[in-house]
Amino acid sequence: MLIRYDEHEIDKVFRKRLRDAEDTPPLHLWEGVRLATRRRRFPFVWFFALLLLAGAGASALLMFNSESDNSVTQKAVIASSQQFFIGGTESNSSSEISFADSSNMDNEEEKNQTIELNSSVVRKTNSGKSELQKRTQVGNSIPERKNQLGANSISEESISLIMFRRYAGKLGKKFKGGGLAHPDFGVQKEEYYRGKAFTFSLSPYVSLGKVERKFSNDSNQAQQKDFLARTTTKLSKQVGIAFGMHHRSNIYAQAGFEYSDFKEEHRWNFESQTYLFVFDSVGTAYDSTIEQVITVYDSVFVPVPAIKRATVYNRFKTWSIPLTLGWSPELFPGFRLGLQGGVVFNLNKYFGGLVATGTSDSSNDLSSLAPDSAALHKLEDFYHHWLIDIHVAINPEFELRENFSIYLIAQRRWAMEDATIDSDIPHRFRQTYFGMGVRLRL
Amino acid sequence: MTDDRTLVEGCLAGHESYRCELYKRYAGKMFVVCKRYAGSKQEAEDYLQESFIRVFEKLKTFNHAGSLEGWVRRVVVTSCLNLLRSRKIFGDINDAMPVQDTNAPGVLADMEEKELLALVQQLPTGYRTVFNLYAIDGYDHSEIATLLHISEGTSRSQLAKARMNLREAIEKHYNIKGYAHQV
Repeated sequence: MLIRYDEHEIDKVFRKRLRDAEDTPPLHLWEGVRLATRRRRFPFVWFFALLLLAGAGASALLMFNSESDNSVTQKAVIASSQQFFIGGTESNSSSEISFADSSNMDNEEEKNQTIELNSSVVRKTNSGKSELQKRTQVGNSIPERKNQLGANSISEESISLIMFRRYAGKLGKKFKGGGLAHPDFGVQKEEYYRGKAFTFSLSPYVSLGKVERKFSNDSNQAQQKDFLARTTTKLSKQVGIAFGMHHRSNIYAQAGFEYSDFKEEHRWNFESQTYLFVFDSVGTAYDSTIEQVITVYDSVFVPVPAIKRATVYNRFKTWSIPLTLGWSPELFPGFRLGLQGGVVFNLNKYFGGLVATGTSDSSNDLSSLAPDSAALHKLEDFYHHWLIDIHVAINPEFELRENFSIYLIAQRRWAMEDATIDSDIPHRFRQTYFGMGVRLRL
Repeated sequence: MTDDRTLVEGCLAGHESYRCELYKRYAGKMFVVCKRYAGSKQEAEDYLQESFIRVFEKLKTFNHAGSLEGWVRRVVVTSCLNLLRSRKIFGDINDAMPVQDTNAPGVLADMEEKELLALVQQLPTGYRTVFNLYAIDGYDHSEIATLLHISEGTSRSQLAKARMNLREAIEKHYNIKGYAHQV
């Protein structure tokens, strides 16, 4: 770059006074830079690799300690597990223990040994769990624990309620895109089938949710800088089934199929709005404020300077194939650390009526927005696109009671869709989820 | 004070103390650069943050041929232009009509830095960008044309309009001041 200045008075003065001028930036800016650059130097993948390493070390240590117990105790543990789980009842006192199925015991002597050991090992703790249970859980995933019971197939039902919060954009910077409150209620049934090295699971599930997003003025997801938008999913419904393979090492792989149905309502409040973005749409709505029915059609920015508020309804269905690989060691009794990564292939299909309604300051005549109804598209051909989603997650779970646990989720998601509603250009975005939930095993 | 080479090598080695020092050394000046290109203080803060992230990303390409400050300044200016471009605000730079140049009033020298900065910030984005690049940061019209994807004629035209706009703003500013003194 050649430094060249002419002799213009204005240029000279501004250059002299402003080129080397200084002003102290706010302190938080450095924090943002520091976090963002540190993240690049220390990416998530290494963070997860370290966690995996730490988890493996802790598991190995705990398992090693467990194996140092004498073999007779191990047999007692297995035998007592049969009592606890297959018998279907628990007893508070060791004196009440009776074996529902003792056919696995080799001889009477071993059986007596086991009973003796039970009397010293089995005792309830304050958390409602026996020491015995805790010992059997160390280093074992739930399906593997059931492997030890000797049953070939076991069924388990659970219900869960989780609250998510989503952030979009880069980590370490101001999160953009607005927050998302996402309560989700799910019911899941898990069937486990014991194999030699693996336990196989089949888990159908159903969940209902509600999503709310708010776009602030500086949101880069908003169509225009100076408007505020809120998107509410009235009710999201999801049904799915997951097939899983669980290894004794607590590594598991899951593949599934999921179908989701969302009905959305977008409410946009404009401050000094000039354009309303609408895409291929069909349908009508009645706005009581202006006592008028309008319809919007075609993929354009429609200049509607008079509208201060607008509502757009749409519905979309998603067919997903989630593939997940994870590791879920129980590091300590009652504490399981789940680490997982996966990819989800989604086909999103938008359809139904997209309807814009609004109120006008200067005119109630919004009929100019109405399209030629003869050119309306078929509903099912309305709009669809692929979305590929890669994610990594940490999912610690605390088992507070035998059938009751709380769990946390921190998930980072990278997604790419082949096109967006407003563009044919592939779109990439990043999101971070934090969630907390409770799970009750029935 | 740590010399440039040590500072850069320390940053590249991942030492946070060196990165912090580099930031502290140049953040003040670069904040004013960002303020000049941005339309508001809030935007300038965003630009500064993005720019320094870019500086640390690109630091390995610094070859010590020139001063570190000059290199940082170029990265910051380029980042600002990219951010402006991402917001599609260069749409208004399309006027290649020649505009008669204007002379500046002699009162400029009496103005404070904040006042001068405010004058720059009140310019329309296109004028402001070209004026900053040409008058303050020393880019010539061919470089500006390449950077902003406009013609050299447009660059000259925008510069002339920026100067005229500044002159009018200065005159208005001093009229108000003088009036206030009289009252």
